[in-house]
Amino acid sequence: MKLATRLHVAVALFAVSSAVLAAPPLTVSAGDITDRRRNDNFFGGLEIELKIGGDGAADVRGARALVKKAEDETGRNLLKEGAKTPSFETSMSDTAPSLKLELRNPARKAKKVREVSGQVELFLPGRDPAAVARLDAFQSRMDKPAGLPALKAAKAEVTVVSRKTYEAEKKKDAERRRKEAEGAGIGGAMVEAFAGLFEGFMGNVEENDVLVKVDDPGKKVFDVDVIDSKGTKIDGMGSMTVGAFRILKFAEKLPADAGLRVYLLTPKSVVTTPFQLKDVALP
Amino acid sequence: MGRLSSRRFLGFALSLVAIGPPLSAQDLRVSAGTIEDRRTTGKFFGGLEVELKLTGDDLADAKASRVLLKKAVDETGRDLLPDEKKVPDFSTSGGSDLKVSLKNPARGATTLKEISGEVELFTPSRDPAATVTVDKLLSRMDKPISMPALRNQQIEITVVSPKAHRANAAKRKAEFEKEMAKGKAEMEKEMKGASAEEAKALEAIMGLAQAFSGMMDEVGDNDLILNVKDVDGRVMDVEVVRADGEKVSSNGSMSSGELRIMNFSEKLPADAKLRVLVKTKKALVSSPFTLSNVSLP
Repeated sequence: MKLATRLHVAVALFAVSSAVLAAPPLTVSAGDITDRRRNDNFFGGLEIELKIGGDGAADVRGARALVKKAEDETGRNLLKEGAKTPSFETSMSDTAPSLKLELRNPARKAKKVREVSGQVELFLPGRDPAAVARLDAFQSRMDKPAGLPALKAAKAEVTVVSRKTYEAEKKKDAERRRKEAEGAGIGGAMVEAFAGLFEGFMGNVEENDVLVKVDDPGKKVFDVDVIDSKGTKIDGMGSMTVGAFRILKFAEKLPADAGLRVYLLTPKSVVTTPFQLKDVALP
Repeated sequence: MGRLSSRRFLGFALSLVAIGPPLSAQDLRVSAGTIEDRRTTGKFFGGLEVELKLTGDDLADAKASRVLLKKAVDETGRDLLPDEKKVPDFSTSGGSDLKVSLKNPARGATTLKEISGEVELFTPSRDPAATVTVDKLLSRMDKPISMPALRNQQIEITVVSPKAHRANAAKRKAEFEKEMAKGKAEMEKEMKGASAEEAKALEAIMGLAQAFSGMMDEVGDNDLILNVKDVDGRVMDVEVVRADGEKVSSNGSMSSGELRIMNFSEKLPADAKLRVLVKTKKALVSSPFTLSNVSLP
């Protein structure tokens, strides 16, 4: 444990060259580093945690890192081939999300990562009023698109759907899957298995859950919260996203005037900044 | 204290006489399988895990296996044996693969110079005394099963009725909370200087343990509740069998201390028996192994 602590400190010292972002002051530094090495080519890789700190960190609601260069001291390129653009990580309470860079394993003999650099995208909704759309008393507007100007500007739409609509969507989806399966030459019980996929994913909807259909071709909807009449978030039991639906789970019945707050990624609310970490010690 | 120590010593000495060294295996081979070297600057989940693949005729009747490591060094000479010298439990999963957990080798090491020790197999078919069958299981509620075959191994088993089990719930809760408080104090000492995230993870683990402890109080109508006193750890496994010896499939089991709860979806047959597998000297076979120059990933 003492050794781990020393390594941690060492990493922090090497990472002093972290990027300093535009006001409010934010910094990016290396957190824990995990080099998972396996001889079966499964689940292996180097993971570098990026910590976002500084005075403005509490305002960061989401973030993601796009790596442009990563190499160890032997010159080995650590970038993964064909890596997908990562999704935004969401913050928990008042702390900025910690990000994890997924890279290839460095050479066994390498003692440090010579350089990891790229850019971090930060979602700061406080910087743009258009990044937050609010729908009041949604329970009286079931199955009607919210039609809010901020959503229109983002070319997105949000609809809180009733159980009846949800059931109809489920049937429609099952039918679509059945046709797809039959079209692909799948027959018998397998067709029903494919048709039932939607049911399998979304079947477990409880009485107090809120079902939100999100049409968002440009992927601008960052998050959806349920709020009380004063605008305070009502904490639930988590959420899940399947296809165009988000299921927000609640243990208790929501107040009749509960509203919906939709966070939108707008040009003004997303701040992009470069980062560069040098000579990061490897465990 | 002195009396207790000498009694413990006597118990230990007797257990050595009773169990003794295992017999030698005739045909058991060990090779290295998947190797994972998980190196992290974090405080948890680091280490080297080496899968040992077992092959050979001796495996055919084996019900459980374990590895007793004696030496593990990388090519730089770094000792990889864990600091905590703990005798591992037998694995009853029935597979022919075992995993050993070691310290991380040096970053620059490319091979493990040597991993050696012994593989032990539990093969009850080699010794009639290793299988004890208790008849009329369901008629023996709430009193210790009196059988020489169990007594000779210093094993005492009681089938607990659901009524008695529920009545003991408060006592178990108090004992558990005492253990939790002790564990928490130790963990806090250990976690000095840990990050907020690590402290949170620990809190979550403690919370989970608390939730699981409550599960031991919830028993289904068909569950079998056993209290197993086994100071020398000789009970390998317990299973319920029908009158003809066929095993009654269980939905799983939980154990905490002396308490074991076996879950069944259907009522047990009136003539159900309990089969107790006991680690006797003759039922254990062992085979030394040495792996040299194992490549590291």
